[in-house]
Amino acid sequence: MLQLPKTLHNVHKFRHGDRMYVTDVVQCKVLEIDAITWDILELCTSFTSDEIIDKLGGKYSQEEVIAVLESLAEVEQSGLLFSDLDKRISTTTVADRRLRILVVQGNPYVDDLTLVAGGVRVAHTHLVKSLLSYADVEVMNDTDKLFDDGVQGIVFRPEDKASLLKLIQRKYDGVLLQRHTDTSFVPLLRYINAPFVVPIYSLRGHNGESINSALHWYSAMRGFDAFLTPTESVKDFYLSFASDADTFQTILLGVDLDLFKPMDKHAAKHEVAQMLNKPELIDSPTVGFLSRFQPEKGAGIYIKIAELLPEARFLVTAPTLNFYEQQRLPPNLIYLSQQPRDRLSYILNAFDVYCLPSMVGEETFGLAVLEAMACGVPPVVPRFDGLPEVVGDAGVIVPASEYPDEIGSFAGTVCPFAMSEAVNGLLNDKDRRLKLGEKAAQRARNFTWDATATNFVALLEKLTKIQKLTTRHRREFPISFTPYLNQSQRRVGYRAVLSNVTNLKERPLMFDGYVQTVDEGLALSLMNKGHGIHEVEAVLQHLCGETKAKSVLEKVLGFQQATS
Amino acid sequence: MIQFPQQLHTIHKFRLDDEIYIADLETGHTVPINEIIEEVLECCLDLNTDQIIEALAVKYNRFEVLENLSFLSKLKDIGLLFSSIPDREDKSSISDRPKIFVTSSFLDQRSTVSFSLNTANHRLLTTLVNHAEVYLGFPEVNGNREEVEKGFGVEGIKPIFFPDQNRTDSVIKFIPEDCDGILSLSPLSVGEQAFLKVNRIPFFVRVCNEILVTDRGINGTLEKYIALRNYDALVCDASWVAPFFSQLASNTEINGFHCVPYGVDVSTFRPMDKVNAKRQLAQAVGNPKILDQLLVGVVPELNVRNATALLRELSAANPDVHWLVIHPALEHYFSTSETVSFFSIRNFQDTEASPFVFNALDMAVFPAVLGTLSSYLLEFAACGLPLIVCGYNEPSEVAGACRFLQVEPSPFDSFRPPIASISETIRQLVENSDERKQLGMKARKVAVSYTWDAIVRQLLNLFSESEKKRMANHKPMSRLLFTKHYNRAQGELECRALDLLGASPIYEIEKAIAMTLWDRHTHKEMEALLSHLCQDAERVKQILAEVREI
Repeated sequence: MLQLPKTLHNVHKFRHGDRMYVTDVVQCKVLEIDAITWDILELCTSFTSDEIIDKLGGKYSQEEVIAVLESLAEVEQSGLLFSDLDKRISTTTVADRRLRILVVQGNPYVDDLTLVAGGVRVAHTHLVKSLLSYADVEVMNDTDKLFDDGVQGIVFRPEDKASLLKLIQRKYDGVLLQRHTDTSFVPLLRYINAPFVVPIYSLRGHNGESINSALHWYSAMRGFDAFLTPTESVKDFYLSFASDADTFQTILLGVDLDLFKPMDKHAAKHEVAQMLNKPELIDSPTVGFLSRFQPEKGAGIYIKIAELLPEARFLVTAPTLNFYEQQRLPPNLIYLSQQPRDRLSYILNAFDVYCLPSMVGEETFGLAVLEAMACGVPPVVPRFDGLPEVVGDAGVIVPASEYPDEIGSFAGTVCPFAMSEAVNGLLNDKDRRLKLGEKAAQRARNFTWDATATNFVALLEKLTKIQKLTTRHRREFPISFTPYLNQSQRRVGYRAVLSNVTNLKERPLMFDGYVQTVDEGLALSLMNKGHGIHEVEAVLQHLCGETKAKSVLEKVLGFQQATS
Repeated sequence: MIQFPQQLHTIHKFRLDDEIYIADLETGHTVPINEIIEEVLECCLDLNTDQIIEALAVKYNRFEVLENLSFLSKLKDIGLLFSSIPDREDKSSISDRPKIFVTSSFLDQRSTVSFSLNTANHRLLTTLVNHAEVYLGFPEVNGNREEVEKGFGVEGIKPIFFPDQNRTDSVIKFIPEDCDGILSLSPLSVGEQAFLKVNRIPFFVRVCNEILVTDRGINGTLEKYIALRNYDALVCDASWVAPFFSQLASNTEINGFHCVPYGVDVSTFRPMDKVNAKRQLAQAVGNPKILDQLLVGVVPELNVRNATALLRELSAANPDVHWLVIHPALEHYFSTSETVSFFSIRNFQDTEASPFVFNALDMAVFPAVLGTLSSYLLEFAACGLPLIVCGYNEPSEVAGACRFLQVEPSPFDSFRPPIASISETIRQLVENSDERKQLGMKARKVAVSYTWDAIVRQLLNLFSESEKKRMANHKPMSRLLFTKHYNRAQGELECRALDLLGASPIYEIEKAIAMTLWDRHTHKEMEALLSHLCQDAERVKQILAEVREI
């Protein structure tokens, strides 16, 4: 039964002709109702359900009133009426209100990261939380609930027009995707005018699905959308596939410095030794691994390093050992199962060296490495993708071989001997190890989530300015593709002719039309139809090769700019 | 951008907490609106998009107006608030007094075409006003209304003045909405191409053979032809023009070409006393030998070089013939000859003299296919002259009433008239006076049906037929995304076209281009585009057939 009384601040009921309706202006749905429902709604702001049953007893039967109250409760539960969402949407200007950012993700929002392990989810959630200092953040969710951290959930069902209408009318200032592999959200570009920022957290992987998802987004993006690349290496990688460098914007991620910080190492080692009942950990040099223990993360290399350095302890913290569990692991390799995030600082602090021989195509940043650095633990990593940019000179970077054409998972290899030498070098030189550890902690302090949020907001502002410059009501010139007789070459050629629909005499659009090549006309015609410049780039590259495509596109964009 | 006018759904407007909302009762959704959208909705059925923008930009910031229209576009995209208005109903026939809008481009080109053509256009319009409401659009420059109304000299034409200084309007806006057709008397105005893109009134373009003397004339006509919709037409003054374009425009039959010759005043152009006519001509040109010789009229192409070359060959091959050349200016380029005289029609006096001059001829030859004054064909026929006509196909307007000499078509080589065949035919007709007489009588008989009234009725019937052909514009609107895709197996980047509405269809790029642009270009334009992209005529045909089916 519907819980009453209720404040109906978003509800309006009305008659049209001989029919009656009720609408929730935030949920955007209109429902046709009957007389009983009308009468109940009249009373529901002041009376309880029982009182309403009494009051309407003279007009309707008790069963009838109860049935309507129950169905109203169902309607409320389904989110069609009586929403709590703030409906301040259309009339306030940007100057009057905070930014409003929509976070688009395919899974429910989780505001408590304690049990979250995946780097992408951790990074994404931290970014969302950090944006709260600068914006109202709404995240796609299975309910319209307000989370404890202040993020507002908003229900979105792609098949539901009301859902889409809600997104259209809520006038967001920016949209943040959780991951670029969520290409099911590409159609939202048609409906939400705000700049989209799509993070690329994985460079390669899944047999090319990662790259092709990025290319799919790239094609659909408008001139004021962008990819967020956590390091320049991601941008450099994608520029071998895409021409528009401005689409890729690098914003460094952060690290939770409240959680990850240097601690008393002896105490940390003691804690971990107790957890594992391995007292030898207290006094032994410890080389840590904290990630998925899988080949692409360098698990095999790590095991070989452990075999090469039998005097040290190699502590693996991972969800499982996967198929390595079946293997005969070296006796100095110790496994600790996945821990809640609030315990990770102890574990990282127990490491003397953090070793991640990852050659996976997803190491766009290396958040786990940064977390270790924040704890004052020097990292040893291969020179691969985003890792060198994060580590800088605050760790040891080991030369590696990269497979430049590999877009699947394994994108290179690092020599286990080289890695073991680097690790051993640090283990045997306490002074150097401690200094590097301090340097790592100091460097990590530059990577704050607040800085990430500030840079994100600055990016949104920049994209909004670009959006304003982008002409929405671009002048469209009728384009005709036509054969023509080329007498001198004794052949029939083809060309495109732009005609002028106005009386305006403006060069080059005089009354005799403006002749263009077919490729130029095709580019303009596709853009007139609503295809974006990246789509046109794709088509032109297919038709006339990269170099010519670039020059045609530049010319056409210049023409548009000049005539708009 | 949403295209108005649009039919608004059944709605209920209300206020809640100082905000305005619209409840769309047909779809069951509520939308918040503002004052701008409120005003747009009030006029969404009556005005087009440009008119709405202009009207609201007076009161509100133009950028805000455009933003709100963009918002309404999105709503329409998801099926809210609007339904498209059905196309204007097909009429089974146009009314007794149809409305025809004539574009004024031909006025700008008067100095570049022959006097005969200008006269013929004038006569066409004079006759047209007897059968239709005729509007002619003029740019208003320096208060030129009175001058234009006086100077044009066709009574009954309704001039429509559009302000030249209005930099955003176009003449298209001033066309009466219930117009039954638009007639352009010149294919060379590319600006008129816009008519084909922005409205759905049948558009007829007059193509006169004489303008096809230059590449610009040929290519300008070709561009117009390509841009025609299925209910438009190129209306040629000679039926042998269409086969030439079939070599350039399409591998199949020509659609959209119709022959509507210029009419002939059969009371003025009629058989007369030939001896008397010859005497008068001999006196006029100062050459008494005309009286004793076979006098053959020849209408060469307007290209002076080709025409003079032709004349030399014809003279040499037929020394016993005296040639009377009908050409605007050839006498200045041809050295004096005893067997060649010239008759140029450059003013009204020449026009008035032409029936007498034509009657002096024993026969007439039309050796050229393109770039010739084909308007004289029926005037010769009306005077009862036997005709010799060269071309790709026998001209329908004098079918069975002439001696036809077929030549092989080629768009590239200068048309080389068959001198030997012409000479032989002349000789045969000289020897066979019965045949000559018969041909002359037949020619007169066919010419009589091409009065100016008949021509205008034929034109208006064509407009009426066009109305029937005009289909509702429900071309498919494919939502495609062109995207790069890395083909791991091939190790290369390729382009794919994904269907955003379907689950997985992926199309070949050329086909996808045709699908996405289908509603913005005519079939012939798509054919031209695909021909350039595919370089394979069979593949082009296949793609067009597949896309049409989709």
